[in-house]
This record gives sequence, structure tokens and C-alpha cells, in this order.
Amino acid sequence: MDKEEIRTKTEELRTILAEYRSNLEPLEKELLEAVQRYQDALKEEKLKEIRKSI
Amino acid sequence: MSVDGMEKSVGISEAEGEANEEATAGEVEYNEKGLRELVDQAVIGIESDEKQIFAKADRGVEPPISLGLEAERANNIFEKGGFARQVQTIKGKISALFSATKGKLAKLAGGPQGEKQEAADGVIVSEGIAEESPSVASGEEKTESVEAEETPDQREKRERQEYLEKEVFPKLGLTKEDEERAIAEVPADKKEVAEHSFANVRATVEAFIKCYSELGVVDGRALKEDKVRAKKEAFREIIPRYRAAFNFELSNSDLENMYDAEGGFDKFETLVYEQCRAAGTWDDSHYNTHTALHNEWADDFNNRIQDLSVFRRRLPREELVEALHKVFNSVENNHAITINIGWESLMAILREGEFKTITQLTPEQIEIEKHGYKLSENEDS
Repeated sequence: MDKEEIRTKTEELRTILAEYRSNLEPLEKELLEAVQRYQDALKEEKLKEIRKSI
Repeated sequence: MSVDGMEKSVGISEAEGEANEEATAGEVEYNEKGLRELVDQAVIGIESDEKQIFAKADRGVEPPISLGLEAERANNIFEKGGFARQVQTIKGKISALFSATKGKLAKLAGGPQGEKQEAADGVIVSEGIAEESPSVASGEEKTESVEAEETPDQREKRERQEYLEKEVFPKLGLTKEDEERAIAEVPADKKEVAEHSFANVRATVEAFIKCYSELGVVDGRALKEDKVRAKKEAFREIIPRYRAAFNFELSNSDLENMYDAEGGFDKFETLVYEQCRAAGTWDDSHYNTHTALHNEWADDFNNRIQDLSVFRRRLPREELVEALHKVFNSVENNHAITINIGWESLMAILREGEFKTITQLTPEQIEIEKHGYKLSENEDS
């Protein structure tokens, strides 16, 4: 590979990683939010159980 | 490792710095080894992200002990509340992003010179696919671009999995809940077997549906009929040359009748040989002519056989599921069906409309179950 090609590929690597990062962030957030909603649902269920037992 | 951390760890900041420096001063030295190292580090960073994000999500879906909810109940909420599906779908998108990015990096490290970035209009051209640059894409469009990264195989697999979980396993009594119920009923020493059994049957049903509804199975009878047709047609073509070479007084139609009556080319050849010998005309030149004609005939009939794909038959998956459902439901205590069931048992359901465990199969079916199908060693008749 000549220098020009390496320079282009380095730039391409930067673009790929930037794209990866910008796509991953919202997905990671979405995943953790789904997990959080599930945990909230569990807490809600537990509360219902406590209310019933009172 | 966070994405930011990864970008730092792969030296991208330095690379950016170098690129900027190059742009301004034109003094930075780029080398191939350095680029490869950057790519390797980027891959390691992505793999680390993959592990960490999924581990974090997996920890999150474990019911917290402190809540004191029963695991079964928590699982029920996870499945029935739609959380399992949501988590699975997002994980699928993330996996597709990981794979696509690793694929791009692999291509970057070893790809041909022609695959270069088109700087103009923020468009990257790779393998003829134009992708919008993230710098100009909106958040929604970014998610769509991740979905577009899913390969056809991955999409098929995901869709099949969703179909199985929604339409098939509940109908056949093969869901996780069915499994837990069944395991609760079997003696302690059989629990492990039951667990494996459910997993095996689910996998077999998936493979079965994929095979019959997507890949299709070869219609052996139609294939055989086509071979017979091709052989006969090739024989018609070669008859005049046989007649000329061996001085047969028989007409073409006589020879054709002989071919039919003797049941194929092999017998016909024997007859040719016997006739020549009886007439005292069989010598080396006859032998050579006969061999050459035989080879021509064989090539010709092979070329006349239709492509195997013509004989693949596919069944609508709803029909398959209905056939399985009918039989699975007819078995009392239907989770028992998971014991001793295999591919051949499912085929027996399709063929005979009834459930048979391995021990109820015929010796031939048991052989197939154990060793798979064997191709016929002598099918030329």
C-alpha cells in the first residue's frame, strides 16, 4: 500500500468508527431502557403483592 | 469499555491528529503496519463493547433477589410482558451493528485498493452499496441503516425465530413455561434429561420447518422419472449410430422396444454384445466403438436431466405446523412427546399423520434416524 492509500484507509477507519459509535449509542440506550422498564414492572408486581397482603 | 474509551484505545484520536497534521503540514509518516494495528485494536474494542453491553443487559434481566419475587413469576413478566422480545430485538440490531462494523474493518485491513471512500456528498461507496454518512443522518435514519446491515441470512433466522416463538412453540407445547411445567412433574433424576429433551425438540422442529418450508426437499419420485425420461431421449439420439456401427438390421423402433422391454440401457448393451458375439463380429474395434457410444449416451442424458432445484418441493409452514399440532395435541400428557422424538419421528407425522417415538419406528427409519440418509449406490435401472 502506498502512503496515499494508507492515509485514505486511516480516514476510512475513523469514519467507520464514528459511524459505529453514533449507531451504537442510541441502541445501547434503547436496550438499557427496555431492561429498566422490565425492572420497573417487577417492582410494580412486588408492590401489588405487598398491597394484597396488607 | 465505552465507545469513547474504545476510540481512544484504538488510537483514533492520534490517527485523527495525524490526518489533520498531514492536511496542514504534510509531514506525518503513515505505514501499513500501524494501520493494521489500529484496525486490530478497533476490533478488540468492538468485541469488548459487545461483551460488556450484553453482560450489562443480561444482569439487568435477572430478577433482583432483594425484591423477593419468584423466578417463575419474574420470567413470566419478562416473556408475557413483551420485554423478552424487545430485548431480543434490540440485541439483534446491536449484533448486526457489531458484525457489520467488524466486516468493514476486516475489509479495510485486507481489502483491495479500489474500495475507497468517496468524500463527496458524505457518501461512502463500498461493494456498490451507498450508505449515508452518520454526519448527515438523523437519529431515526441511523437505526434504519443498522437494520439495513442485517444480512438476508440473519433476517431469515430472526424472522423464523420470531415465528417459532410466537406461532409454533406455544401451539406444540414447547415454550419455556411448558418446559418448566413438565420438569416440575418428572422425578428429580429425570429433570436434566427433560431439559435437554425440550431443547432438542425445539431445535429439531426449527430445522424441520426450515427444511420443508424454506429449503425444500427433493421429490425423489419426480427426479427418478426425469432420469428415466432423459435416458430414453438420449437413447433415441444414439440409436442410429449404434445401428450404423453394429450393422443392426433392427429398426429404430425395434431397438427402442428392446430398450423398454429390457428395462434400460445396461440390458440393451448386453444384448448388443450378445448379438455381435453370436454373429461372430465382436472384436476390439467394436468394443472401442461401444465404449465411446456409451460415454456419449451417458453425457447426453446427464445434460438432459433438469436442475435439481426443479425437484425441490416446499410446503407452507402453516400446513407443517398444523400437521405437527394435530398430532402433538393428540398425545396424552403432550410434553411426553419430547422424549424420544427426532427428525424421523417428525417425518412420520407428515407421512403417516401419527406420532411415533424412536422405539416405534421401523428398522429402516431407526437407521435413518441414527445415520442419516444414504444415497443409493446403484440407481441406474
